[in-house]
Amino acid sequence: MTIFLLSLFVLLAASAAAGSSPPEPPTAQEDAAALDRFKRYLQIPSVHPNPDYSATTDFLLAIAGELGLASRVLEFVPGKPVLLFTWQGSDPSLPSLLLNSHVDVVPAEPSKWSSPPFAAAEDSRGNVLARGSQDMKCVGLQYLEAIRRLKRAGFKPPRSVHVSFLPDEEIGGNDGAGQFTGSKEFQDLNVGLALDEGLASEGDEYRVFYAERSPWWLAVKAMGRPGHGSKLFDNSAMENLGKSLEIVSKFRAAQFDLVKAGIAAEGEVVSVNPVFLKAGTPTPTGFVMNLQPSEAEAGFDVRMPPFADPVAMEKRIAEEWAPASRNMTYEFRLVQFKQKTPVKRRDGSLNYTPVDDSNPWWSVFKEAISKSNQRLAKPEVFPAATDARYFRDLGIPAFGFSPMANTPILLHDHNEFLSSREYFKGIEVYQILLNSLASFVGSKDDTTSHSEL
Amino acid sequence: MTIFLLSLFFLLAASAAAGSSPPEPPTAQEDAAALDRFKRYLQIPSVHPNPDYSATTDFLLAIAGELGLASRVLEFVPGKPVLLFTWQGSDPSLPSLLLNSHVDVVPAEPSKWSSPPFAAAEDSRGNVLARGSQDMKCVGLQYLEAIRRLKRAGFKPPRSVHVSFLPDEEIGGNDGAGQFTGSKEFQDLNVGLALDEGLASEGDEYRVFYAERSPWWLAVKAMGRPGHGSKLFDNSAMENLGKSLEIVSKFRAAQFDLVKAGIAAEGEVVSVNPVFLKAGTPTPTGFVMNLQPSEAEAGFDVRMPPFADPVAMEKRIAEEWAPASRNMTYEFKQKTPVKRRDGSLNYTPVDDSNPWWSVFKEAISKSNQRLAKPEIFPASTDARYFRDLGIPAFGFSPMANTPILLHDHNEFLSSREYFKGIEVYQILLNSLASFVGSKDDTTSHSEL
Repeated sequence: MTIFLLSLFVLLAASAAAGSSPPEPPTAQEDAAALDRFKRYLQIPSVHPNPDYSATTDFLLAIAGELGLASRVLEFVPGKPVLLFTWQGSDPSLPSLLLNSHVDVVPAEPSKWSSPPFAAAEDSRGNVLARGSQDMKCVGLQYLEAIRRLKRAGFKPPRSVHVSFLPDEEIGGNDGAGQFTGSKEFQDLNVGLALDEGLASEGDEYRVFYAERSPWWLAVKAMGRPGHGSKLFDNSAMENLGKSLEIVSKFRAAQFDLVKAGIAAEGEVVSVNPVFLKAGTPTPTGFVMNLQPSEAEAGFDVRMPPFADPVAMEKRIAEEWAPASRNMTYEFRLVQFKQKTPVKRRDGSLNYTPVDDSNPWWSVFKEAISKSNQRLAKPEVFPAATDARYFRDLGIPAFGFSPMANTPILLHDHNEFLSSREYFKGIEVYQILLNSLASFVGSKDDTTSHSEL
Repeated sequence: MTIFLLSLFFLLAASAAAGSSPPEPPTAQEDAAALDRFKRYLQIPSVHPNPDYSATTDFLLAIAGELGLASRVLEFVPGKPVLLFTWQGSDPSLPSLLLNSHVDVVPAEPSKWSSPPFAAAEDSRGNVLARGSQDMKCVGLQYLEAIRRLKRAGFKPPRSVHVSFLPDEEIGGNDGAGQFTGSKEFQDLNVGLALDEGLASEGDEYRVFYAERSPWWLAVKAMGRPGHGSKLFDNSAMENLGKSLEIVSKFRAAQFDLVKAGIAAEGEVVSVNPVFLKAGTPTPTGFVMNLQPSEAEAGFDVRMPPFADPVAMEKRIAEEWAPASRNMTYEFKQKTPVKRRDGSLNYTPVDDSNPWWSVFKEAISKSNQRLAKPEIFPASTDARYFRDLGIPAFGFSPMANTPILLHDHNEFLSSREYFKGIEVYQILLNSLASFVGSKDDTTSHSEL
């Protein structure tokens, strides 16, 4: 009998170590404590243009301390700290798991919100209203909540698990993810897979992203003879810019039609949207009305999916959107990026994480979601930009994932919120997901971080 | 014999009084003096934004004094004097002749000129280079030079001849011609015909204008949801403004095609040219690049010929250029009426129905010059203020074989053309001031 009990005990212990037993459900007290941490995180105004990074640093370091995680603060750019927490794995030869999130949030207009954007008020339906509740303070804390519960359950990960909290994402990430991924400290982490933000899903299924679109911020300028407002002549700056606007508009419509027809997903087409127009001679009360200007400019936000051909696109811009034959020039506005965001990787490979059987991480990810009794939508290309591109640029596989189902998509919008129910569900999902990913040893392991399959 | 000689004398005297003998050619000295006055007038910087009107007033009053013309300075708006010189006619019951010109000139960029724009330098070919040499100090002084010579020849006009020098024309004329034509002093002049500026002609023929186009300065605004730069959605402000720009562009092309095909003259079509575009959130270094703006605006300079239908045009603007259905609004920064207040078409007839036209044509012919087909002035002059009141007006600047350089760099007029113009005015003013006519234009409010 004793041997039987002992065997059972050892069996259970082994299963626990391998993480195959279902997690213990959290107590009401634990949930309340997690929700309270979420609200306190949301209340810190880490908001542009002057995010309070020192308050978020203190807050997060305290939690790392509670969880017994080794913590480092890396300040590549003064005033913009990168936090790095490490849960050392039992097999340091395995590439690590990186759980990334950004700390900064975009501004909010209080007059447009039903409760203050940094109050994190909870309404009667359990919705927590705050800037950052979807994008993306939820995810950053859910990583730590999942780790808290895994540790409590006695889980010991084979792979090291690093949790990074970055500044600067909402303004391009140069001083956050850009610096971080370019550093020796990052190299030493030997990251095998990164997780970063996804988007809310209006339906039942969680969304997951395997690539993103690269922003090309384009400004075009047309030049021509100035002229009296009453004079008709050809090739004015306005006429030439007008032709460009029409041509771009037709391209845009063709791409948008693919999405409307269900032929392509939003993130799979090249989107181009005009963002500024500038022409005319200003006066104190408006513009000079009887003079045709000699210059006219327009700006466009272009997003390039990883499979688009950047060479063909630039050719199109040079020949059709801003041709010299129409007295036009163009430039890429380097507002937030130090260079026109490349579409392909530096080695010329396509910049995406495979979401098929060729990528073992994908199978593990899918199974874990399934194990958590949730459904996953078809993987998508993220329509805009996140920090994940910095990882994928280096050949590191990355999934964009934010467990928010049955939630309207409100990032950057008024009255951004997340329900406490979804928040708690997400913690449970991460508990299973991190367990699976950190335990995955694999037959053919991704030992080099520079090659996607 | 004596009776014969006496008769001959009377005959000649009568002819002289009627102004039918050819004018005496000017001496070289007289020409030189006239050219000198022209240059000195050009050298006065009566240039926007701060025209030196007191200097031009002194200069012109002095000439009026020399010519023995009664002069008045009317300052309806402080700092913007209207000068009015009068050569009293022998028959004050006849409506008068008004010779109008403006004193102010538009700015010039010295770096773009081959000699300073207010130096009035004369090059080796006799071209006088200055801002205002075409637009329109030449005409204003040519009126006075012609009067000088007519007086010297003993001419006494039946009709009174008034010469007006106005401020403000280049910035719309409100404080110049606007005030002047709205005043009692103007009413008392009982003007029967006005002359005002024309344009240089590149060929042999002088140009003459019988109407102008009314400026409508239009601003349109589109509104829509703002959105992230990466998001595709319909009915953004930019999309809606873009549709307007395309529609306006097609209308413009259709009008321009009529001119290119020779079917209509420039002044006979509705022109519309975009003059400003405004959309986007500015930053210190440019614009926010990842946000689609919630508003987008454009401005247009529209010119309406006198025969265009303003009601139809505004309908087009409201329904096609800036429709509410596309979340758009529009406003006029300025909307000069197309028709007269009484609803009549605003132009001066240039056919046999208008006796003034015959007199004008014959006088040009008498001066051995040729006149091109009458045109509609493509932009705006002070003449519209006269025509608005029903007073016939011709836009005429005697500059032939001259490139059209008003408002441009290196504006110039050759001394040869300037002198020729004085001679033409001598004959023209003689004819117009002498014209009594069988059916005279005694009311100033009805065009034929």
